Amino acid sequence: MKLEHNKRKYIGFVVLVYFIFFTLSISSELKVTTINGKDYIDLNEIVKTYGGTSGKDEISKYPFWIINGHRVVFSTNTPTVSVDSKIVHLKLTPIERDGNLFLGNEFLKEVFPLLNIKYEKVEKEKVASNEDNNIEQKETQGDIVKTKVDISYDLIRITFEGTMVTFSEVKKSNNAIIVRLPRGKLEIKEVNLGEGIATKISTDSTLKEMTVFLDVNFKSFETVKLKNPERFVLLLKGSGQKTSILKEESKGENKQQNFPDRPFEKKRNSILVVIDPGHGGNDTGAIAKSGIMEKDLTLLYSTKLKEALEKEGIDVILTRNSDTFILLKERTSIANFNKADLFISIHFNSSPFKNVKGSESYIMSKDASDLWSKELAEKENAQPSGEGETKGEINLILWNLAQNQYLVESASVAGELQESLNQFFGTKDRGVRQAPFAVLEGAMMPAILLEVCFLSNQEESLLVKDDKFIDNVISSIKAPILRFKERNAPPVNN
Amino acid sequence: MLRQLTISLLLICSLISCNRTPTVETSQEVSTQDVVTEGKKEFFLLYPSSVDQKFHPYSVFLEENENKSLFIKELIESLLKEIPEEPLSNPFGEGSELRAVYLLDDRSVVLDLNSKVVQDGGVENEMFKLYGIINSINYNLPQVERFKVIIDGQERETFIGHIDTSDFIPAEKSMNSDATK
Ligand SMILES: [Zn+2]
Repeated sequence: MKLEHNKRKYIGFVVLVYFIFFTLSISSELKVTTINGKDYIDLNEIVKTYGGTSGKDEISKYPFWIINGHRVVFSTNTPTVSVDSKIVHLKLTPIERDGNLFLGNEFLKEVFPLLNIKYEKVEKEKVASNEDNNIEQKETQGDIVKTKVDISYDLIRITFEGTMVTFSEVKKSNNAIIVRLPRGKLEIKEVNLGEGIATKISTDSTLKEMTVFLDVNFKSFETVKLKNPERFVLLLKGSGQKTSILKEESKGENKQQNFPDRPFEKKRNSILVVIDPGHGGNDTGAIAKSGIMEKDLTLLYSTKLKEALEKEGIDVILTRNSDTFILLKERTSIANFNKADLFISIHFNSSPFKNVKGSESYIMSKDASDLWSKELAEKENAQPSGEGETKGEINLILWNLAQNQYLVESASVAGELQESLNQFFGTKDRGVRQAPFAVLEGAMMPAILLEVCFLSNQEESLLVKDDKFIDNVISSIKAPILRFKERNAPPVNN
Repeated sequence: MLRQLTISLLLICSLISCNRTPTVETSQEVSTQDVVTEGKKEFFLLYPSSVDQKFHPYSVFLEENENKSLFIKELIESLLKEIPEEPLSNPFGEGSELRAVYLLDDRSVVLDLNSKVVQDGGVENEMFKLYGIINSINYNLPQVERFKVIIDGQERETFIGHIDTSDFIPAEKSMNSDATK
């Protein structure tokens, strides 16, 4: 027993000696230099201590450091470094002085984990160099973990993006799932999810722990780790049944108009179209020479289209009905949450060619979808747990692949819209065009981005506010949507 | 116990030796990178045409540089400033600049552009600018196929309000005219 005690004492002593030696040896090398009242470390000092090679990039003249097979390139104009394929934002812009590069202290904490260097070493160095704790506090404040919540039919996807998020801990209790980050702080504080799979997301006061409160339709969850950038995805799956319980107490104050407690109740023999008036708020979109802004026109035309479709018995939700900016992913989430049959984002175009006129329809890019699908398949640790998940769920691991399975239908509706508008404008068919549009990516239904006409064309920019022109455009858009309804609305007697 | 002591001592020794490592030598990568072949070679910039609003090749003579980053920089700087004959057009406004190129591996590149590039809205402007750059690189260096665009060193959700630039994207080959085949 005594021997065991002595043994422990001896181990403790060795650890202490090692710790002191370790911290002193590093602190003697990693000198902190104060520039303009802020603490910096010379890159040469870091290279001396941790090894690797440094030099200057021939093209950008930016300094770089190659270490443990990683390449770090520093910008001297912006607080940014690239570590392999990852862009890391720093708190302080690196400073070049007398041929040496000085990096803000936080660099060590931000970048070392990406280089397989344990930054605990640096923490110890800080203790040894008698820096006050405030500095450390300031540093962690900059270490934000980006958090995104995407809502689909029967699935909620919460994505955490940041250094070491893949080491997050997940625990499930009776009615909640708790995610604890190994480092950094959560970006969001509270999100109301209505009801169904989960009611609400909240975070603790340290912003390190997130609690997702589960609801009656919750069935199972899984986590997925993704690289480049480092992401941790929590997928909450529902039971596939619409909830019948309406919780009065869950009716929140901050609830968005389009995120009510339950998805929109469609008429039995109709379809639901979500119309997205492009841009809004500070995002003006294109501006015509006359000063007309795209964001105002998109709202005007979307409102008119809503009225016209409702007269035909089609249910319509607008993603915004005032001059406010809504995140692009939120617009798609509104369509997914309400189980829309069709999503149309309305825009007005602008081209360097002033003679170009007429309408254009766009859908998601096949090339981009192919690249992302390939990358998802290649990601060595993209490991959905395999228990009967659908193609849609797998695609939602990467939100930007959700539209993939609706591409054919999207192309067909876009083609019909294009044809109808070409007839009105008297323009020749330029075909449906494709690109990775942020507003279409997560849509779990046919989704189209429609460019009504060109604000850069003088003739069209003078017509856009003309009532007759508007009526004609709306009728041209309405016709193919009515045909879509005929194909997709459930029969009356069903 | 002896094992733990040995490990501790080894760690201490490795740290001492690490601290004594002489200052960095010039990296091999730098010394082999800067190889410039004599003379110029024909390359193609992709500019949109007012006839079909697709990209058409426009011939330029540039120094053939084995350093891919340097070559991409030269190519894009040329794309930003050249004035092609009609019906082709340069969609980039005055003051548009490429700030830096980070070639990450053989197939992935990060392009840091300045904010002048993203000034005019409208999808067609956006596509001509973004894919003018991306498709031109991919056309001349087909092995480079993943592009991430940042503006003034910062990541953005979209390039000019529509196209997702938060992730790597490929060239959009559907925008290239038959003349590029
Ligand atoms: Zn727009």
